[in-house]
Amino acid sequence: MLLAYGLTQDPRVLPTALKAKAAPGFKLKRMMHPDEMVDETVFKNHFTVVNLWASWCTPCRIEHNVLLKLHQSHQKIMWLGINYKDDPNLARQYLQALGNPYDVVIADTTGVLGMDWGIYGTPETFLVDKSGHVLHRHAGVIDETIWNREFEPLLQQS
Amino acid sequence: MKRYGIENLNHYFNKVSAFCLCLMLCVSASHAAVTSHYYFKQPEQSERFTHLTETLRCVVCQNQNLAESNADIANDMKQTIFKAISSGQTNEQILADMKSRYGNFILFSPPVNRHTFMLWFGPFILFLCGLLYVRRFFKA
Repeated sequence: MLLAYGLTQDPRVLPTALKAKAAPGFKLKRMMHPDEMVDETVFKNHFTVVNLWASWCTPCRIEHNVLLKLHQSHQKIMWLGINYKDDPNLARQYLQALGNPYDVVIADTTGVLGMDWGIYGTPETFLVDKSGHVLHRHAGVIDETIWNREFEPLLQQS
Repeated sequence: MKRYGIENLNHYFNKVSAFCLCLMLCVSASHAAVTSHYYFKQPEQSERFTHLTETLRCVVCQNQNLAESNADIANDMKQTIFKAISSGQTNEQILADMKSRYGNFILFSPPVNRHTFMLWFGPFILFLCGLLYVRRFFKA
């Protein structure tokens, strides 16, 4: 019975400690507009999708087109990209070449902000509610099936 | 015969001693490898670093602790722990900080509480139930 129960659990689902807690605070320059600063007030009054990515991250490349489509179809959501442990020049070139699915991009060059989010690697995608609290985390490539199953219901509920 | 037996025993002990010496060298080498990149002012800090990195799980290579793992994020965590120890934080503060980010999952040995009771004691309970069943079966 225990084995049967165990076999129904997906070991790839990684727990997050941030659920229902305030999203981690930060204060960083916008990568595409370096004269502007952004902090955790960016989460207020709208849903935010936070996506941690890097130009060196192959799975991030796989999900990039999906993020572009979702950004187009969900324009009331704030799309925040956290560029994780990357060269900002390469990251800018990546977005210029492939398209930019984010409203705001910040650079976490040291990985400290990523650890504050409790990430295991890239890509990871979080949904933050209008009061700045984390609703959900998906570790790994996101596609439309995963979005419709895990993120869309949370958006509809609120 | 007795003399032959003693010679064999000496040979056996020499082999075991050599093996134990190699094992001790490996353990001390791995301990040195964990702390060699991090220079502490006090030896006690180095011991705390070793203890903490052996207590916390590598979130990428999940069957390894931080001390064993060379994953990028494990090295970032070690760096964070190093800075925290150097700045005077206690072990409890450092563990609480890591747990606030990653939950109890970050602990290589999960705590014993009502959520993990079955994890820790389930196998023994099942074993005892099995023993009782077998005893009843044979009594009958």
